[in-house]
Amino acid sequence: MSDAKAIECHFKRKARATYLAAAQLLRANPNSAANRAYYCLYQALVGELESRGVRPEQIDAGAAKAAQQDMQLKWTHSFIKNNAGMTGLDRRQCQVVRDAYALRRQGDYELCDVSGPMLDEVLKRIPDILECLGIQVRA
Amino acid sequence: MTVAEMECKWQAALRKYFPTVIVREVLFREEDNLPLLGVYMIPDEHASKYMQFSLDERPDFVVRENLPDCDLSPSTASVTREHFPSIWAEAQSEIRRNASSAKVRSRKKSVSKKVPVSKKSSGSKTARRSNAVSN
Repeated sequence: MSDAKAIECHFKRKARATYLAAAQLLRANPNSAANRAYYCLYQALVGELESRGVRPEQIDAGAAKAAQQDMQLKWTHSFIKNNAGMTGLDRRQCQVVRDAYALRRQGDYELCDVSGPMLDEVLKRIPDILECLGIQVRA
Repeated sequence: MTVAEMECKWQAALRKYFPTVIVREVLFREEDNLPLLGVYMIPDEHASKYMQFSLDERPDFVVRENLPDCDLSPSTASVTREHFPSIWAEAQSEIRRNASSAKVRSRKKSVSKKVPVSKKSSGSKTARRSNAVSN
């Protein structure tokens, strides 16, 4: 297995587990569920972009700056949520990534909690996106 | 475009769907080059509806309304009341202002309705009713 394929498999396996964690956390802890919901998309997109040979440090100034410190940091949130379309997702699917990011940021850093009904709407759309990226989460 | 102008544009556009919302910049940002705007005062009962709108319609809505690109952080009315008291106060004063101007409007309406009726012959049923009210 090539390095790129191994990295892709690694991220996509993690993405699947992260999605399942988000679904389990939804009722008990929406803040943590929002974190997991965004990160499952993040991991799936990193896996897909790696497999496509995308080099964010050559495209985005923020990613290039982050990569100077550590190559692992090149996958910035900014790059991922603004370039999800490079993986073949449509505009609505890209919007899910952006809204998941906004809820994750709210759940992680703001004083207020993430709204369960809002997060529910985001979570409902994630399985389709993961399937588009080659990750099966439905039985 | 300044952030204040972005707030105005987004607020005006979103109010076509959610008339009570207030849009203000969120100052905290992670590494990001896009502004982050908070959408406050989303009615609690419309939390799902707002998110459906954002997920399904927002990409087209942004193009249609010629809105600047940014991220939106949504907060319901109950969250706004609990965690963003200054925005809650702003919303309440706007509600009061709207209610009082609606009262003035309805008063003007009822006055303007009475005027032509009272000019009609006093024999009609409507005119008698109108006279009774104005007397």
